[in-house]
Amino acid sequence: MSPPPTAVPALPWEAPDSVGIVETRTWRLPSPLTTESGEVLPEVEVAYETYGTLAPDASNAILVCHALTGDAHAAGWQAATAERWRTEQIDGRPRPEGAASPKPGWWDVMIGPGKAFDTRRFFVVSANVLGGCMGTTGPASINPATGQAWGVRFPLVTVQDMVEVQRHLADHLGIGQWFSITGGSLGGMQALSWAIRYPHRVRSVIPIATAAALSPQGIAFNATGRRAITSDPDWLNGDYQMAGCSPEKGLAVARMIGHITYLSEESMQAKFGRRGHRLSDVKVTDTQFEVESYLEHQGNTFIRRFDANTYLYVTKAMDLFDLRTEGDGDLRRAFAQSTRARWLVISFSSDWLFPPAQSREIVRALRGNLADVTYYEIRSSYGHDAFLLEVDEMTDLIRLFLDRVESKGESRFVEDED
Amino acid sequence: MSKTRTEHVIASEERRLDPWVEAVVPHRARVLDLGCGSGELLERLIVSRDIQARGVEIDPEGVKACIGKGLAVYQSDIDEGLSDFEEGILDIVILHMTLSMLWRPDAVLSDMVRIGRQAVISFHNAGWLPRRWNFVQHGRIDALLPESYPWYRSPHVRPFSIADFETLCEPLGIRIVERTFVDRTFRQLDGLFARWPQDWAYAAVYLIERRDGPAGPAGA
Repeated sequence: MSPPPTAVPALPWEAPDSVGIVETRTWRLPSPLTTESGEVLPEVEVAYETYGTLAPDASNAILVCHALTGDAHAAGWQAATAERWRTEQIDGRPRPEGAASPKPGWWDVMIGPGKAFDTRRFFVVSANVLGGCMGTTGPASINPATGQAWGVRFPLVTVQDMVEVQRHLADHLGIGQWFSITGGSLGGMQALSWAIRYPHRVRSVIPIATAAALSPQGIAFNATGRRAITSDPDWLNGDYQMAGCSPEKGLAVARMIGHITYLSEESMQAKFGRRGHRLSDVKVTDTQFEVESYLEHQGNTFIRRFDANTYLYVTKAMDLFDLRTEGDGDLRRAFAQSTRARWLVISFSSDWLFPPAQSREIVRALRGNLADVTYYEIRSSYGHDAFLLEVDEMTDLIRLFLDRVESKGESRFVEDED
Repeated sequence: MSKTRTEHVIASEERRLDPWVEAVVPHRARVLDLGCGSGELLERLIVSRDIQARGVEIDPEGVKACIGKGLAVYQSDIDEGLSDFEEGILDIVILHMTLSMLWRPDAVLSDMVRIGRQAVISFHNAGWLPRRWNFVQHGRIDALLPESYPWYRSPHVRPFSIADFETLCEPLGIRIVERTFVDRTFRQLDGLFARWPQDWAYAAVYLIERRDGPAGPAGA
């Protein structure tokens, strides 16, 4: 008797709702970039991906902004990852030690044919942020003036600088006005910043699990993560690349701290629980509990793909972000010009890093300007991570909302005013 | 899980009162509906009055239904206040069969006439004689509450009568512009009955404004 033949798993990038095999492209800004802090970056390259087809009038473009450790690869499969998936799943070869499981883009669940950001209708653009380490110019890039990595001599980066690079990319792609801009966490900050800085270039905005300014609690966690990196003897004042090393221990700790803030008490309880043990077997340095090995795994896979100095720069950009300064301390005034766009603000009930109250603050400032804003708090136990996980709820809301943006055009409420 | 406000509202009664709210809403007004539920009233007003609509709703299902209807709606608790709206920024603020569900009805009323040039309040009249008679007979609070829910589950935490409402308007500096009283069949009270609305009105719709005059640019 022979065992029944096992079905060959379907290739995920060939699924009808997948954007398929994708490639990250790189484009160089035509001119030097002056940052918000007044420094000049002589050369800036930006890594980006696009999905779907841009309409002849460029009216169907959606910008997806990534969070702290994300990248331009938001959807679909990169050829190399697809190949790894194939060798693991079909050839049955083991995964190299310490390697992350082969996965599609970070928001693949939201972008694709028939998904929330439906690539049959929309042309979706995703770019790595300025200061990043996934193809866009950042502290790990080579400073053309010295021929060496920038390190901490890289200019300070703000969310507005990130937006400025995206704006250049939009010009390059021929996109005058985005149909929508969206993103979670730091990505939501970029979406907010776009709407304030370029209100006429944004038809709708979907900020998710974000805030007009990071809370002192959020800053505290970022600061601790940065301290972990800079305390690592291999950090070498940011010049570890030249020395051929990397502050891996510090970066791993920073990532572990980050992951604590992305979960919730409830989700940790559900995910990990407590394992039984015999005290005589326990050593104080042991990785005893599931949550410990989870965090260690997160830290160890992170150091393979992420640059420590980028972690410093991008968390700093988050800390510095404060929209109140755009309105002389008044958030409502900051949004005064952003009322032509339609808004869908989404928060998650168990998110304590970007709590719903901070989203409500944005909503109150917007509705105080009579902006066309819809606010929805999704009940979720996943904490901040929910913006990557609560796919069904987000999809429902975003689909209804984008339909409405399409059918109604610009917000009318304020237009009549004169 | 506890029931939400909208689930409790007897929708059909609310809908039967809609025409009387509609009657006092001017064309092309900027309207905010507090406790808009699934957006039925706003949708009706958009069609008949060409209003520019905004809604506040606490129930997630109501909010979703509103988004599906193309309405802009904020998921929030009315009792959290409306301080983010500037004076007179809206033409009409509506509170449809919801005042008795609030913890701070006085504060919300004050805010409504502050941010809107006018406000529309509709409510069940706890003073309606059949209710009062029922209460006197049996001594049970349920009789005064607008719905068939028992007192311990009713969302109407503060039942009040027409006399209660008008007495509250005075210290809040609120002027009553128009009053509509309806009977049990939601027809306007007429004849002798209309002389004693406190006794004979099953429900009421009030158009109110601030006594010290319309505020803000919209009032110009």
